[in-house]
Amino acid sequence: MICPGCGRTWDDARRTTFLGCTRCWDTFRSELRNILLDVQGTAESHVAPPLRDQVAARRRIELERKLQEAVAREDYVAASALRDQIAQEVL
Amino acid sequence: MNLPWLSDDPGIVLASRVRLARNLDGLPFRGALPPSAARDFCERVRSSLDPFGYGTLASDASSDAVELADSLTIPTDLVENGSPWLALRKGARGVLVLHDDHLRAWALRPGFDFPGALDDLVEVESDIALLGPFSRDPDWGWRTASPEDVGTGLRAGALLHVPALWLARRLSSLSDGLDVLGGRLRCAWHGEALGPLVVASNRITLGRSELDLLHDLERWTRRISEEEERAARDLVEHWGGELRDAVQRSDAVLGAARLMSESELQQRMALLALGIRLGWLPNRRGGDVLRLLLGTRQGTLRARRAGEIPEGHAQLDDLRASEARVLWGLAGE
Repeated sequence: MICPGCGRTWDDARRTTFLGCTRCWDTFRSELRNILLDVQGTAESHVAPPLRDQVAARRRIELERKLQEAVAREDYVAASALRDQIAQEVL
Repeated sequence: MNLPWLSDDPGIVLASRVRLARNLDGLPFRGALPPSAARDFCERVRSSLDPFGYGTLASDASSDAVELADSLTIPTDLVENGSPWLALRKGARGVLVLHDDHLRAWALRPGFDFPGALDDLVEVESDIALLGPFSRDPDWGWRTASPEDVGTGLRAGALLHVPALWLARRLSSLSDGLDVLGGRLRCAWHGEALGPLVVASNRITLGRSELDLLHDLERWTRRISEEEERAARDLVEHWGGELRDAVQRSDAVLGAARLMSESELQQRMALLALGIRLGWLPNRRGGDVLRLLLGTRQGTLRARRAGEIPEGHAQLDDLRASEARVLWGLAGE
């Protein structure tokens, strides 16, 4: 089988350990599934939010933890600043 | 050598680096891309990112690319791949163009700071978005040039200075253990045997979220740091007096040697780094050893002593010793 995107065969890809183009992912799908099981230990994807959203969520959790700590030690100036920062993150 | 991760008093974790691989449909990967199309693509990326403040750090035509690879500023295998490529940088973040994948966005923070590096990476991802849309597989996520990167396309690495683990010969078993957990431990320079400067990274990129992959790496990095401290304690316990003698001899030898093989220098630098950490060399600092380590690499010697690089091993040992005397002498002043 030859990839219509780059003209490469599966043997080419196996020899170099690199694919020729993104269409190779469609052309050599069943072969790649086996390779993924071997190199990644899985051929199943994990549906995660975009990286930007993951990072923003992590940042919000961290700020909320700091806010709780500030409230616990009755540092209301810091708590107020953190609350404003969280509000801005949400926006 | 102006490196964002090199401080005078570095800890075990020198730097935290993250990168994302992104590719375009309709453009072959590096191995199937004609050189003229590769150069056109590099130019397109350079001109698109120029308004965002990215400067050209190095390209395939750059004469100092090997020195940049020696100083861990750009990956060694990028320089060795033989086809057009480009490295763009904005502070401690940037984009590698045609390093296997079409684009590899990266960010680096000194010390152990993956959350900070990830914040920076998100900004680079946003900057390169105008070059997209990027190729995404309905089942497997971001499509990459190699099945080893598909899914998140995220590769994160902690640059670690582990002289005690190397001297105690414990790196191989640590590397085997990390491999089982889905990680990888390799020399800081691609393709070289494990030495005192290593990179711990994720091997798996599919089936987990980016943050989950980073949490694993953070946990492994802490564990390796603990193992390095344990190895240092064990070396002191077993070799106390002899170890201190070897450290202080190395300090003297580097200031006076006329011939120095690569392996001898590596051994002595590891002893010195350990001695500094143990407080046995109060006038020296950890950064001095790292500057020496980077400054005596062959590519750096070539770049600094253009025209002086000899053919034979003896002459190269002479040059290496000479550079070591200068760097170590300057560090002691």
